[in-house]
Order: sequence, then C-alpha cells, then structure tokens
Amino acid sequence: MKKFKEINLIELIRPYAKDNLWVALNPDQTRVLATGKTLKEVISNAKKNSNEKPVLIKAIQNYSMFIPILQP
Amino acid sequence: MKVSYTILQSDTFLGKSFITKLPLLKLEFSKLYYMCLIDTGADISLMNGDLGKEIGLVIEKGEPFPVKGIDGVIIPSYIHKIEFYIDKYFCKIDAAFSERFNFPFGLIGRKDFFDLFRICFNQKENFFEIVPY
Repeated sequence: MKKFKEINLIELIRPYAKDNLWVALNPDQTRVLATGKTLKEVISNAKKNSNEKPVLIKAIQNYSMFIPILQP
Repeated sequence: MKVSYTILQSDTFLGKSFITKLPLLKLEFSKLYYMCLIDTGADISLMNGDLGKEIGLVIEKGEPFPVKGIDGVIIPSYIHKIEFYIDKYFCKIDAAFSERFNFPFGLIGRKDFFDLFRICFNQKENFFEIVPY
C-alpha cells in the first residue's frame, strides 16, 4: 500500500518551542503566519500579518513524553 | 476522508530527540482552525478556555463540569455546544472549556464526535480516516 506523506511541522515549529509560543500556520501548514505568547495574541498577530485563516498550535519542546495530565 | 498524521519533535532533558507521530485534526471555526488530537481515551472533548472566548463563548456560562486527569487532579471546566467544520462536514458536539487546560492542542474525545464519524487509525501508512455515519 502506498504510504501517505505525513505533515511535518518539526522545522516550522522548532524556533518557537523553547519559548512555548503559540504559532499560527497557514491553512496548508507550510508557513508560519504569526506567533504569540497567548492564543489571543497569536490570533491578533495573524490578523495583522495575513488574510489567511490561521491554524493554531502551541510549540513545545517535548511532544513525545507528553502525557495528557491536567495541571493544577 | 483521509488525514495525514502530523510529525512533531520532542527533545528530552537527557539530550535525546524523538519523532512523534500524532493524529491531529484541524477543526475549522469561522475565523480560525484549531488543531486537536483525536483522543480515544477522553470521555469528552476538552479545549483551551481562551479558544472558547475567541469563538464567542462566555466560558463560565456553560454547564459546570469538573475534569479529572489521570493524575487525579480535578480542574473546573464548562461544557458548551460548539459547531465547526472538518473539511466539508459540519459538526456539532459538546466540548469542555477550561482556563486551566494548557495543552499545545485540543483533545477530541468520544462524546458526540465518535457518534458522528467512524474513525480508523492507519499509523503505519501515515494516515487516519474519518467517515461520517
């Protein structure tokens, strides 16, 4: 069976992971439209930088060891 | 509808790096997309409180719902009925919103969403498939 190509966000997100920034990507997830310390800030910055609808995800350094534990 | 897995990197405190392959889905709201992990272990979908405000919700006006994580900690959250699209498919589900939920993406849990779609994971082939019932 032919394999699908994964969506690779490693290089796009890496520069912002150290600061745990929210990142707004373009709908194809190939470019960074904006970043921000909060969701509100990244949405605001994305509006200033582009007319494209932003795709929001937070950059962190460790997704592999990420266990869905809710922090108090 | 077939969706590619998303690849992210993890750098551990021991200096090692791992590649993580996740079934992330773009939820399309009127002004933005929000990345969510399909989480078969979650009873209900859970999202960032700030996201709720951005899509027009008054978080505290929802139905109070204490969410308990696997560490046993309970955080306050509020359930709202939300609407979004996945590609061409309209979805209306209950989701809990919390100011204390600070994941890098939302969680799509079983309630409602898993009744809308049959979901098949094909990690080895790098895609998962969601098919409306």
